[in-house]
Amino acid sequence: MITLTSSDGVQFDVREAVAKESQIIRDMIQDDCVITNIPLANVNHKILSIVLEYCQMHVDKTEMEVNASKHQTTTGEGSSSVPVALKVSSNKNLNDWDKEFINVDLDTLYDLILAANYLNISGLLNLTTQAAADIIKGKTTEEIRATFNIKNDFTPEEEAAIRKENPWAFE
Amino acid sequence: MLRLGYAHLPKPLQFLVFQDTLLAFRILPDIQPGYGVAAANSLLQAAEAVLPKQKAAAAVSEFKRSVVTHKRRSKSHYDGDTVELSQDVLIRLFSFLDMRSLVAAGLVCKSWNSAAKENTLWKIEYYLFFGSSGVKEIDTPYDFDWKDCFQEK
Repeated sequence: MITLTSSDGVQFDVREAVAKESQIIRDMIQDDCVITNIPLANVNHKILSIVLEYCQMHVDKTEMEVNASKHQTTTGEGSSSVPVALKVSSNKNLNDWDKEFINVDLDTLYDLILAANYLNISGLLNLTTQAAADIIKGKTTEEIRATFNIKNDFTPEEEAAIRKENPWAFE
Repeated sequence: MLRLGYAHLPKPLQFLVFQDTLLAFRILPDIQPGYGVAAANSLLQAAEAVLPKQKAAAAVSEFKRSVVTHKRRSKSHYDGDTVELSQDVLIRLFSFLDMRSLVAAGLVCKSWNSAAKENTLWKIEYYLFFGSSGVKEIDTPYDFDWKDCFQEK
């Protein structure tokens, strides 16, 4: 077990395999095998618990698949169709689960992107940035600014110059 | 550690320790605020006390440069409550966008604009739009501007 401590001091005990979904934690553990407590200064407990839920689910599913394929090799050829079906359905389940998982408010999504990037969890980073891209798609620049609460730091001249570069995009 | 040991070390090792000290200052901006600055301050004091003049001066200038970067980064990252997304993250996010949305996103603010100019994004859009007919990757130089190429069409 490894203890992860959030920026606001809440401790989470997780299996090593779950923590290792994060590339930076994987590197830390490899460098020094006696590490048991890792403080994560950039992630608060609310976000960390969501991140760990994701890691837990993905580790569990992977382990289930490994077990299923072991089962397949030990039970012989006759029953091979069962584990394959199981694998397909578990992949589908995982995608459905991801979709449900990422159905969060925008602030949480934003924090999850930052956490996934900081902890370097590539699956979660892909999932969250894809979700943010889906929100951006089809919106105008003004709508994107309003949605993400981003201040326009261009001068009107600068903005006009960039618009001129791609006139076809604003027809 | 630096204070106690430096004088007793043989020359090549002294050099190594000096290099490490510089490196420590250089990575300071990447460390959490608070921890990093305090640690760097005590390292700087030790370095000034122990190192020969020239090297101490080099260490001090490295320290100063590092503190400036550190401050600049904390400023750019913390705009009130919100932390900005890094360019890497933005580019990954933009790679999921269609071309029209990519152009709209590029106008949101300066930071998004510089990420949306990323050449590889335009290469992807180019292939999606024109297919592999037209420009072949094999014919293109390393620094080929895919966005320009797009606009000419």
